[in-house]
Amino acid sequence: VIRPRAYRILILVPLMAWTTHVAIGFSTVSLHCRRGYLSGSLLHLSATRAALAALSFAAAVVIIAIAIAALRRGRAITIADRDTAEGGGVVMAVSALACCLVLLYLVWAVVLTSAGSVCA
Amino acid sequence: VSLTREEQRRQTLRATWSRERTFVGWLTDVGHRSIGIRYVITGMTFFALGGAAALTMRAQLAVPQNRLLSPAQYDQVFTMHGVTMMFLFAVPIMEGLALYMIPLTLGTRELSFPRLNAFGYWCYLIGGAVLWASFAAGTAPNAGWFNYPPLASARFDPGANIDVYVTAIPLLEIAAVTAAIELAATILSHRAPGMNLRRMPLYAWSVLAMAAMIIVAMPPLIADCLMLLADRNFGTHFFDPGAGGTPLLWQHLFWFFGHPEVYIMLLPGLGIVATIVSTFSRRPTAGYTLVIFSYVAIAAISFAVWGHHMFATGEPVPAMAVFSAATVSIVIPSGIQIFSLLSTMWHGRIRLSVPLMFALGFVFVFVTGGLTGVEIASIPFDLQAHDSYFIVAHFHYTLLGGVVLPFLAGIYYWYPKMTGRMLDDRVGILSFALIFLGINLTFFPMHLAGLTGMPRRVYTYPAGLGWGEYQALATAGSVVLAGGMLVYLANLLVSLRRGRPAGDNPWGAGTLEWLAGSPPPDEAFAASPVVRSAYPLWDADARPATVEAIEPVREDRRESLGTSIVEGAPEQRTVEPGPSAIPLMTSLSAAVTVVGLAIDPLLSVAGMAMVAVCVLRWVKPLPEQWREPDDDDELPTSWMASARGLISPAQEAMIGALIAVGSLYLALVSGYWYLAIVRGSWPVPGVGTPALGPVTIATVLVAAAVMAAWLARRVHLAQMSTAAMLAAAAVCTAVAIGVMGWELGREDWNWATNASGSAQWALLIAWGLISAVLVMMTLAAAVYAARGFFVAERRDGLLLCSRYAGFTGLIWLLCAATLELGPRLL
Repeated sequence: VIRPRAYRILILVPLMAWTTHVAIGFSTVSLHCRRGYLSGSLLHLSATRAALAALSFAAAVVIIAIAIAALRRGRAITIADRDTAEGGGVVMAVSALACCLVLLYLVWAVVLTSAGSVCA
Repeated sequence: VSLTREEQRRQTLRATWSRERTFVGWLTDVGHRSIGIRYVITGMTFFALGGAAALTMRAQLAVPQNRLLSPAQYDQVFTMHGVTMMFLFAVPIMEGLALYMIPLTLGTRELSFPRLNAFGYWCYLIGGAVLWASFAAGTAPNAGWFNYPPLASARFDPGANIDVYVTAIPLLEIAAVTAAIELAATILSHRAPGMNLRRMPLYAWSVLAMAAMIIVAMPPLIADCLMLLADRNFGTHFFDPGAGGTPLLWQHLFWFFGHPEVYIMLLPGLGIVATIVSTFSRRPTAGYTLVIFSYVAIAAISFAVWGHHMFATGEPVPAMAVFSAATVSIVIPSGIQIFSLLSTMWHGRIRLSVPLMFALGFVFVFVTGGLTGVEIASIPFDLQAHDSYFIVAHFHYTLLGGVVLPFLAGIYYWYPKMTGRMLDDRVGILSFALIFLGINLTFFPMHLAGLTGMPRRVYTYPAGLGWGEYQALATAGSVVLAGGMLVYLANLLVSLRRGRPAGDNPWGAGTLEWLAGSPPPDEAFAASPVVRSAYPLWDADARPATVEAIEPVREDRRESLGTSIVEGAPEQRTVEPGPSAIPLMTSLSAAVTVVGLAIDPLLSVAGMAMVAVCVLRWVKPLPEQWREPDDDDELPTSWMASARGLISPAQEAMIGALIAVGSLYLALVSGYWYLAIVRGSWPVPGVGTPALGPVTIATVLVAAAVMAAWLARRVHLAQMSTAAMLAAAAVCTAVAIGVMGWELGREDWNWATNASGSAQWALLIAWGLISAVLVMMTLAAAVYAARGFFVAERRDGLLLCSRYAGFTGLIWLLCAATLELGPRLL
């Protein structure tokens, strides 16, 4: 029986990405609007928006890496032992699908946070 | 008459699992089916009470300027309606149904922790009784089910009403978390042999997702309630803007619980509907992996959307926009659910039965509620619709569609299994028709009332604004809905005696619960079924298939098979405890502890002492744990499992409990940082931070305790050395608590000075309580070690102590870092 213990936690990363991203995004904007942090600008873009974009980009990189790892591991499990390890395969498939959904969310979040005044 | 060997085995098995059918037996029963059915019956009773409150509100609002209820009475009635439906009906009833059905669907005889199951039920019953007793006394909660300060603060609501809320809700949440822990542990490690994750019933997947959400989401509400209780009774200032606090902190923590709560209620409903649609379409659910993904995705996203309840609070729009994006994302997994159901029916051979009608009703009603949910995920639209009847219509469509209809479908579907009798289908169709009509007649007009500007939570309204017709229609609809519910209930009661016998599998379903008798005998299964597909009772064409069975556990004591998490391979035997009065005693003690906080702190301390005594009795090893080295090389008993590198159910429960406690502590830490960010200066003038000297000493002591507990689990140490190490861990922890207590006592500020003082005291007191548990745990383990309990093959308890010590160390690091870094960073 293949026991990909280390890979099982892959599923947790995309799942935690949502909460982590909204919590950090919310805190970043709050720190700017309430305490004046990140008040500068970068290439005519407010530093707060740049920080939000950078946060989303970093999250996307991690998520893409996780998705690739989950897909590769899922294929390896399935080929190695279809019957006994198919439980592991479903975990990897769910991880990869979750990554795709997080990526969609990140794209949409970048679009929404780009509109209007930062502290409106 | 001589019995065959198999008949003798079955007789022994039945005697081992039999229940005492007396009043004392009822009080001490811990069986999953007894407790599950109690949850369901108690939940339906509360549902009737909450429904009566709703009908009273509807009568009040049927015509403009009505004077049936005074404003104060209306406040209590609408609050009790919400509190009852959310805390006393929806979650407990879904958990209760799961507690009954999950072991059967997994092909096992019992839950992982039967006594914990009974403890949770008694906490639930006590919490519910406290709430409704307060209603009878005229002091029920009256600030809405979300209980926002400042309305809920002592200044604006000085009576006992809110104190009832903040003491009863933690009890109910404790009940929910305990049930979630045992459901998760059972699903992960008590499945039939061969039931790997891909062969697990979708209902079990949905309950697993629900359980995980409860473990993370509910503790922050406990923290929130305790903070409000402290504000009202001990002079803290968490929610007091005049002293550095903010009422928005309540909203953040409440909705971090509150939105997942919606999906906590919804997910098991999705699992029930998927099961029913599959059975009556005579084919496996379409897109099995995608459906699992959707459960997991819904569970995860729900933690990232709490801010959408706060679009109108004045927080910056880009900060809220991330919540809007996350909210919209939930459309995809929700859509997968609906299309999976439609696809299953499209490709299946549909038999239109009553449970399927309720399931189809779910599709219509829930999709309607979901569509308006997408609308209010948009900030501009939400700002228009906020706090109007449009929102009332939206969430009632979602909850009645996502919770009530699936629950009614599930009860109709599993009633033959629970009672051995079929329900009357003609009456069932009538009840469905009335309920479906009633839901739409009641709640659709509320959309229109809301769009024309009618605010929610008003006890009356003037004539001539165009709202009267909508409200009259809604009231008429609520009478139809109530009539449907009564017909449904009558069908349940009458069929109990007059229903035709059901047989083991009346619907021709494919999942394992239908393998047991109807109703299931006390031992549930004569042997453990071996699973080779997601629908073990079906062949490839959904025709009946035979199921192999094995029996690798002993029949002369309550043993169950423990299986590996991913593959479902048998790897250990777990021994379940029999009837016990300890859960009842512990829950009463817990109730004294929590309720005592609002009456007299000494009462609370006495309650804690009683809880400690009960827990020490609870964890006392079973007699067979003392004497048995091991009698099976292949399948060790669970208390021997960790010595072989396996994860015992106790370890799984410990992980669940640590996640729950960690979530509660993180809520306090988040509260600290939120207050620190939104205030102009931190700490608020008048308050300092704990001195570095005592914090450093405490850090060293905590590290020593963690190290001692880790050393204690090393098997090469002699018994007395193990005991000494455990005692050392207890002493170091106790001294660390004492050092920080001394440090706080010598400062010239305290919890009542301002919000900074409140936040710092909260972090340290919570850490102190968590550490006090470690002291008790390690001292008890030291006593057992000195008596020779722990040997190389039997050291699960030491592993648990070591892990808990590590956890308290992490909590201390988080606490110390927050207290010392917070003021320096901001």
